Amino acid sequence: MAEATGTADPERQAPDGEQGLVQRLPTPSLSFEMALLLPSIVFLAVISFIPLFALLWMSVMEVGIVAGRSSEFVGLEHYADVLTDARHINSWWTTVLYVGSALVLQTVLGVLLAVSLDAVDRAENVFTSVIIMPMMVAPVVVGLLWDFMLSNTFGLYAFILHQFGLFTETPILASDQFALPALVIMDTWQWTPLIVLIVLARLKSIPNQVYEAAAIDGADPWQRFRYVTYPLIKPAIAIALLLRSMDLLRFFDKIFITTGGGPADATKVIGMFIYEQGLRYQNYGPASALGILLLVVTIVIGFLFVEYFMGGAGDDE
Amino acid sequence: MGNISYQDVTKEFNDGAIVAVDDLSLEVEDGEFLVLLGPSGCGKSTTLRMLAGLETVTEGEISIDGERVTGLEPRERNVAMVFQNYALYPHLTVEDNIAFSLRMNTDLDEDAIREQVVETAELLDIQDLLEKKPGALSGGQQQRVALGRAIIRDPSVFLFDEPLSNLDAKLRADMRTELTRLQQELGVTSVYVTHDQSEAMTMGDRIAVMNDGKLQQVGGPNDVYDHPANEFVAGFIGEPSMNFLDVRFDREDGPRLTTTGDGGSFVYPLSEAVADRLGVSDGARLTLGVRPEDIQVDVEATGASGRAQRTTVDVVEPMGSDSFVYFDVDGTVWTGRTDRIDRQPGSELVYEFDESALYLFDEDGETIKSIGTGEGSFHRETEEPLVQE
Amino acid sequence: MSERQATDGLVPRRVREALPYVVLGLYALWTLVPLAWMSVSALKRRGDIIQLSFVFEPTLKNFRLVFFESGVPGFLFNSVLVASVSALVAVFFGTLGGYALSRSDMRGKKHLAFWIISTRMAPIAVAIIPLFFLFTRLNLLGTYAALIIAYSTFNLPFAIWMMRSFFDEIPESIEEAALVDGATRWQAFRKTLVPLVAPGIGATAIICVVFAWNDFLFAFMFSNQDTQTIPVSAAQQIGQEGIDWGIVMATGLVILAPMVAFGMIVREYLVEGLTMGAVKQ
Repeated sequence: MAEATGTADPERQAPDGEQGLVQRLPTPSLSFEMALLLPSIVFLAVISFIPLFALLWMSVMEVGIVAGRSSEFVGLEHYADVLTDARHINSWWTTVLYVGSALVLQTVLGVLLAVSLDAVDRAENVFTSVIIMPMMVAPVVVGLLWDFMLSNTFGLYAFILHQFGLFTETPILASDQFALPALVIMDTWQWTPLIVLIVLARLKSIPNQVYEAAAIDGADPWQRFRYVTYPLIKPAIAIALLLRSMDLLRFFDKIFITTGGGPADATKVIGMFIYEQGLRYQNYGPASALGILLLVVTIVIGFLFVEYFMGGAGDDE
Repeated sequence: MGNISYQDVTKEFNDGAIVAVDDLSLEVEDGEFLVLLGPSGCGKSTTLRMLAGLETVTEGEISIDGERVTGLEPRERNVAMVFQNYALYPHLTVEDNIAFSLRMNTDLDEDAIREQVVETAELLDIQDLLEKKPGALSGGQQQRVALGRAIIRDPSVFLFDEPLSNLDAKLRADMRTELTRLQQELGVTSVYVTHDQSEAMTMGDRIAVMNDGKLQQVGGPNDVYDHPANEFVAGFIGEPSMNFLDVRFDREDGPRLTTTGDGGSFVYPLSEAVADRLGVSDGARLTLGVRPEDIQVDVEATGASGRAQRTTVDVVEPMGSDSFVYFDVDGTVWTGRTDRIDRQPGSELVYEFDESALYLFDEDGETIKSIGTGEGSFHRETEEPLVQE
Repeated sequence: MSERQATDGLVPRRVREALPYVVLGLYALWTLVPLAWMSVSALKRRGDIIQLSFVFEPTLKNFRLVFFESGVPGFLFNSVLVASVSALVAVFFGTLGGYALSRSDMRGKKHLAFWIISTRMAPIAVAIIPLFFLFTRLNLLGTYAALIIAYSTFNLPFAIWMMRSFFDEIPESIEEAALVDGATRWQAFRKTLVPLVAPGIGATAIICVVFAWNDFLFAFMFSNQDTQTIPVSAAQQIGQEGIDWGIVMATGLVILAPMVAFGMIVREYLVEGLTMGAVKQ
């Protein structure tokens, strides 16, 4: 602990010629902080800008994959394709349906559970611990597990559904009507807890007097929720919605594992589509154009999130 | 030992959008206890932090003990600082907190460090707390540890950044006395930042009053109280604060001050002797000031001076030993500090104040006349023509 | 208030007080049934799995197969290696960067901070294609380095933002006191600030491990037979004819158990972590 003065000081070890310079810098602190941040900036620049430019380049080129075939500039052709082609439009719709219904279902359930957790006096801890478990489970395992649960031969849930005469012929994940709802339910099983935690954190911060005041003012429980609780947790719900929509657009592991986008494109969300076009069929142009569009969507959502719920990315003083 | 010198020091933030300290020059003598006093945001903390090296200086030079320190790191300045929130290291015991600077700056072995820590702790009466962590201490104890951390360095300068503002009133008064005692005992030059004027008055050898980044006045406690350099200092120092009224100075029909408010009734006759020495021209607009404690109430309405004024009582606040009486003077509320009185709101009140208690300020807020009628009370050497209406 | 509560609404008070427990109980059941069924099935023989009964002779055969007669231990090693190295790298640079971002008063800091976090927002599918080319070009496909770099694309920005929010909570006067006390910037950081954010560093590291461990798509694309992680191997078990669900479920349990345990350890930081600091518990 008793270090000799200054020997560990990186600035002191500057070459003699620079010593005076270091001390005369207008804000010496800036250089120290930048020095700490620089490695991260360099790394992130490399792994974000190079891929971004590569993506942009590929999105306006017809990339020659076969050796000897050169790449050809095609302008915005790929963008036009991905916005007009029937399969692409179908994929956009699938995405909207998947993300939208997952958000609605998870928000309703999440708020209900958070309010319930806030209301119970006992066992809150136990309930919370149980409910948050699925968040920690790898999406692949969630996919495999539900694949198993819904398997027509082995699945417990499929068996229960069979008792009601449902999905006896086609397994649910092979049904072009119900595969997407099944995926929504899978994601809901895994990620509703996040909304619960976010809303619960907000609920805990509402002082009890607010409810007492509302009760004294004659509000019944439903009115108390509608006019007191709900307005107060609205920002938390918005946070949850933005975060969840970003992740729903970002990940497609569960879909990849369970349906692979099928049957007949019924569950082919944009992420899955890009992956398939880009890496399975090597249609780099359309995949890149689609990727750029998806990136723009998520960055806009991310910007809204950071700007409105984190007080901006920091004070720009 | 250390005297401190600020020469034309300016501190800007946001590329000059905010000027926190504006061309400040100030000398602090060796062993002196200087208080930097001002409202929040006046630049007093920035002034202190530039001395510590925690803020850079935009322009100008700062030296400690004759040595220029402007570009130096905090650790190279041999200063010790006590922070408002104490800034104790929460993960270290009291002993390690106090020993921290010795471990950073010296090659002393652990025994020698221990010895010095115990010595310092005894000086502050915290030797029983050495094994504890800051979280387990009361505010007053934390304050002492912070002091110990500063003292053990044997610095050339002590810096205090509102160190008492987080303590309750009783403890604050005790610590005030103790700090003064310690400073006198150790004889180390100290700069003390506060917004609390009673702290400034009781502790400082001299007080430097700041406002809006500018140094307003430097002087002894009584000096800044009796002879404030301007309206701001006059209003800032003194509790309750000085009463003000916008007036016009007229010479015809005998010198007097008349309120400039519409329908006002305030007229204050001046003696020729005082009027002659003010150095202001007929018709000049001035600000009149008078301290609450200089106001006498329940005087004869027809006194010889002709300065008694009639008004109505707003409210009377009993303060125990005396009373604060609030009353209306042509639309502004004045405060008088008087012996105990009991008066219904709305009842009539006759008050008066002596010519010597009168303060006058010009339109720029500079003092024309401060307390008394002697040599030091008139601040204008020569008559300057004032802009007439 | 209580009397009013007792009468208001149409629902009797006792029912209303029991309602949250019913809701939570049902949801807990919904959460637990798949996990319980997974655990039960992992203990079943192949023939028993088709029987949807709880009455069977439990066996550890599946776990024995997983641990001793498959590549899983090697894949487990790969997962541990890649997840912990990427978490260490992210937390080390994240602590430095988070501190810098928290304390810096430079202009454009806001944009820099947003840019940092935006690198994490890119959809996996968008990131994966150019990274694939980059790794091909650099001859990194199939190496641990490729996975560590890929995981750093999401763990590093995350760690920077998390650590920044922890540093934001520490008053600047603490390190200023250290500076005045004679410490250099580095010493003040190292000796006063880092110990104070140590719990945050731990929590951030654990959450980074979880993110990396649970990844499938990057590992699927960038690893090979030797470097593949355990989620990839689990996924490959169903590609084959006649899936042995007992083994798949046993592998799944091996993947999820440590992460669920980690989740419980860092529970109080979970919301903050998963919302990148927007919500504090």
